Amino acid sequence: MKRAIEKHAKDFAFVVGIFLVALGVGAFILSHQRLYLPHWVPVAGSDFVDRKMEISTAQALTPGQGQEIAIAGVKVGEIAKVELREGRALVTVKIRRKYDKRIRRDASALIRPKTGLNDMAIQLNPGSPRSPRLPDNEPIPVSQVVPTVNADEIFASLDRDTRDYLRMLLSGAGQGLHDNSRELSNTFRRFEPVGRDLARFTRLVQDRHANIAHSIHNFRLLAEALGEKDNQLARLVDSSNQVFQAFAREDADLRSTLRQLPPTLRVTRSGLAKAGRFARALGPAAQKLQPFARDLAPALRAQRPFVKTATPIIRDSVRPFTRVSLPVVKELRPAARDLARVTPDLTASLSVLNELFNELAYDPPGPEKPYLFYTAWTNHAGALIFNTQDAMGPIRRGNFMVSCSALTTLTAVAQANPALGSVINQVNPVRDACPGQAGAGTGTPPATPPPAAAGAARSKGR
Amino acid sequence: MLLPTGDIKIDDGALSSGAENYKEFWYTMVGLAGEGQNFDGNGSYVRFQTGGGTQTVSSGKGSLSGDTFFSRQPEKPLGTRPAFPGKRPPYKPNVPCFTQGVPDLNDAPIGPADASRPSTDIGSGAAVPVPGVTAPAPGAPPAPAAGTRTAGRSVTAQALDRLNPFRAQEHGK
Repeated sequence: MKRAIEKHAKDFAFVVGIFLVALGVGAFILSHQRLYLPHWVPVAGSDFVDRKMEISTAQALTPGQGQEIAIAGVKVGEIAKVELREGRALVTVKIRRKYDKRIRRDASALIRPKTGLNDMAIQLNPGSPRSPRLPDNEPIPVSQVVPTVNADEIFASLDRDTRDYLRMLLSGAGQGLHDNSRELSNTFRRFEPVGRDLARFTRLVQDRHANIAHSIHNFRLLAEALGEKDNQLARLVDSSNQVFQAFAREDADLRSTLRQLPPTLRVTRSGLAKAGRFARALGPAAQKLQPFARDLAPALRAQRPFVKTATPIIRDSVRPFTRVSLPVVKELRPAARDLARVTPDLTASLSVLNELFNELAYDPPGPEKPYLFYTAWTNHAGALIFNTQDAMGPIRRGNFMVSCSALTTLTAVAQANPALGSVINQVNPVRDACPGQAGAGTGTPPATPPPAAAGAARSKGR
Repeated sequence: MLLPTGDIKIDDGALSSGAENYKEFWYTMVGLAGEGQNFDGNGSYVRFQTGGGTQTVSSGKGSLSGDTFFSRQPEKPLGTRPAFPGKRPPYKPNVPCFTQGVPDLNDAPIGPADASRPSTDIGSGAAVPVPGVTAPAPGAPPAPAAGTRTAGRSVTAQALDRLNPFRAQEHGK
């Protein structure tokens, strides 16, 4: 064998080269003929995931023909199986695993022919990222899969007249649009703003739809929560009923209260105004009280010894005395009420009395004497006035003083009435000090400052 | 202030009563009540002793009629005590009484005997000596209130005690 190969080395190398070329060409052809190696084959293996979708009609869907399924035009798999289940076509597709994870619950599919020979393909919309991932064993529902519609199906749905009119319309349109493609293009171009606004309108409608969906969802949650709390709701209704019944019973009182509310609010407003003035005055007052507050702490500390000393006194003396005096205090209550009534007048009287005492005691500077001095001497003189008495009692001592004009009258009276004249003469009025009366009586001239001499009659000169 | 003053005994020489001043007040009250205690068929009457004598005393001009009044005395008048100051003490009711001192009742000036000398001449009037009366030295403390018992008693109790005319008898028991 070895000698044969050495002998035909060129031929052998040619055969090996042809084999390798054939192997490469075969691999190329197979790689383009949907030959997929198992996923465990390194490098060349393919990993697919089976997905199912329900469809109303699987017309022209033929497994094994390489009919593809694409996302955004990118082939991600192919149709593997078509079967009938519950009157619907259940299509199984093989999707590469790396694309399968993109498929969501709201994924939708559109089946359209790629060629005029109904070589079908499936355009898959994997859904929004916000939607949860579609479970592996759950098919895409029929509501989210749109099958292809053939023109004959459209025409079949129309009656004859409609088809004729449609034919006439298309014929007229063909004639009208002949050589008017530019105008038609311009017309369609003018629709662009409208389309833009319609797109915005559509987005808004979509948002509204989403909001309504959220509202309905929240309403459902609310309804469910209310359904779980039905007993509490029933009690709430019962309690509300009782409350409203109580309100109804108190209707008259509430009406009266509401009538009194305006004057109450007026009084409150007046009170708040006064409170405002009080607050404005409180600020400066509080500032002025700050020094007092600072000095209060040392004062309280200094007061502690006194408090400690006074505590046993209050406990051992004042408190027992208070207990004992309680019955007396109760007996004094009516008297205290009466005293409270007269306290204002009594206070005024005591104020006047206090002023009287102040005035009596005021001792002016210098040789002047206070009223109290003269009051005391009045007491002394008053006692001396009555220091003469006999068996009939005390006798007031006095001075009979007359003026010259009165003396004339007395003289006339004494002459006219002998009885009174006798009394007047016993008084012995001064006669020699008045002009024209000299000699009428006895006596001495008005006194001059006497030398020091004893005399008990001094008090008569007062 | 008022109560210690009432406890002072006025030294008025031969006319001294020897009693506290508040007692003299009650003596006056007794005299006022007793002078009218007699009555006859016409009712009560007041007894006066008008005096008389050989010595003439002049009052000076009166404040109403302007006339000068005269009277008779059995002896020569020696003077007036306390002397007439000629004006009223100032009116100061707002000065608290406890801020004032006890007046010295025995430091009473002596005035002229009658209107033969100006009544306002207090200083010269004090030259008349009074038998048995010793004027206190200037600046000397006021005389102590005799019989004061203020320790441990309230002002109200002391006032009631001094206004009680039977205090002496009660204390004498």
